[in-house]
Amino acid sequence: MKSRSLLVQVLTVNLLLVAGTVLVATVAVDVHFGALAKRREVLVLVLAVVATLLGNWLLLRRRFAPLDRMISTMETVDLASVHQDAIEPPVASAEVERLHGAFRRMIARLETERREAGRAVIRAQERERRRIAQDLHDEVNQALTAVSLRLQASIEHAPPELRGELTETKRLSAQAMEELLVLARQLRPSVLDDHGLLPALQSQIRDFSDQTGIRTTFNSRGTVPKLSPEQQLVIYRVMQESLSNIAQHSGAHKVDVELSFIGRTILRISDDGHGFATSRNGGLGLSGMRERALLAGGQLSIWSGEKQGTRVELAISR
Amino acid sequence: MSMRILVADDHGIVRAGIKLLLENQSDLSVVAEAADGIEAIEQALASHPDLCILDVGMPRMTGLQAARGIRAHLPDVRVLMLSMHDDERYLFEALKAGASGYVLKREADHALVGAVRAVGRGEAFLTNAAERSIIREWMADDSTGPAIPLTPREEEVVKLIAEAHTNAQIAELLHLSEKTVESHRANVLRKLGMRDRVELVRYAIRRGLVEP
Repeated sequence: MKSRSLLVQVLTVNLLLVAGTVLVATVAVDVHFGALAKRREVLVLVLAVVATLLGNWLLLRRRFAPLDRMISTMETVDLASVHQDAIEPPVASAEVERLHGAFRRMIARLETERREAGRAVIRAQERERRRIAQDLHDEVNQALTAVSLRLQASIEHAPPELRGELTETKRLSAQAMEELLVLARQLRPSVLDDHGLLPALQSQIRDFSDQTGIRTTFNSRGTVPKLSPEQQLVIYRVMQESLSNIAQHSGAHKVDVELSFIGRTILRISDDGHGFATSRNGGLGLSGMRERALLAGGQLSIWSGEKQGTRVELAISR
Repeated sequence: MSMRILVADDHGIVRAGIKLLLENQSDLSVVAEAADGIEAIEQALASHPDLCILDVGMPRMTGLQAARGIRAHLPDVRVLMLSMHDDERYLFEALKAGASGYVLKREADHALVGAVRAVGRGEAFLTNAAERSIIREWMADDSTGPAIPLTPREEEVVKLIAEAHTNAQIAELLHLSEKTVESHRANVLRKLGMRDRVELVRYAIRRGLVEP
């Protein structure tokens, strides 16, 4: 059975109480219902009961309104973009205020925990990527180097009919090496640690432009402030993800990247591609970027539309 | 008479591949091998080769440091640096350290033998990728990179500190007294304006002295 709302339950109880009181009172004062002259009194009594109920309902509804609002806030609250101020403080009874306080504290705790968990996940992910990149770079590629060297040695000794085949094998091994290097570079932005943010972004743009042939400009304004490693990484990864989306989906011919350190830090990547409907952007790694931005204290905005290009903007306030 | 060569790389399989390829040539012979920079210097002093092929990134002492050491003791020995596959960062430093050639590992299969012969003849040798990288850096930055405030000896100490060797171990590896190592350590921290080992490790990674 569906439980009735609190308002209905209280009203029902009140109705029964008032009706009961009226009944007992009439019996006590010995009203004679039989008499025709008393009809008006009965009518007055019924009207009084109805008026009481109506007043009751109006007053109670006002008292219960904050509770309703709180429930809908609780139902719709989005942990991914929660703002404490959005949860309006109620002017109501002590109980509702307590409930509200408890809710706020719970949200704050959840938010902190979520943030910490998110950070831990990203840190673990970066660590894992770093390790894989290192392995690819140090172990797999060294092995491939050895393979290439040995194949070269074999080619020099091989009978002519085998040479073509061996050369082809060597070419394949060189190709595998190239691919591994690109992969390792994407996994671990070692230039970020070694040379800092700007050179890392520049070399990423250069690689992108070389690989895709898309004309790419890079402008930076202001001096680089002290950014935490987390913030540098989010800037690097947002650009990486955006460029990879552009290369795969946009059909763009030109990309402009702007990095401004005037006031707050803003990274802006705009392309002239065919864009996409921003409502369905789940598959483009954008939600992952949003999450990362949020965890580093930044905010990601995306403007796009069919045939209008795409603009991705990351803002980090200090 | 064939050219006598020392091969130093911390990866045994790469060393073996290089050896196989070089031994294929009648005019080249590998006379010594080493798995790190310190061993490379020792082997070079013991066998006095004509040419040393040194991998840039090795433990205990990098190829760059070993090149400096070898060139200091044996100025007539030529050095050819072999670098990580995509790492053109240490090109300038390699040349400054006295190397006459710089070959990326991914180009080693077709470029190494030619490079060895060219450097053996006393010429400089850079692979295409290395040349491109020089030009690119030249165009991107008109200064020639940040000045290195440390002496080669101090850099050697920094690398070993970053690799978590104790003062006593460092003293033994570099044939120094512990006191000297300590004063090197203090000088380095003062010169770089750093407080502790953690900052020093970070510096060592940035300078390519150790792998992160």
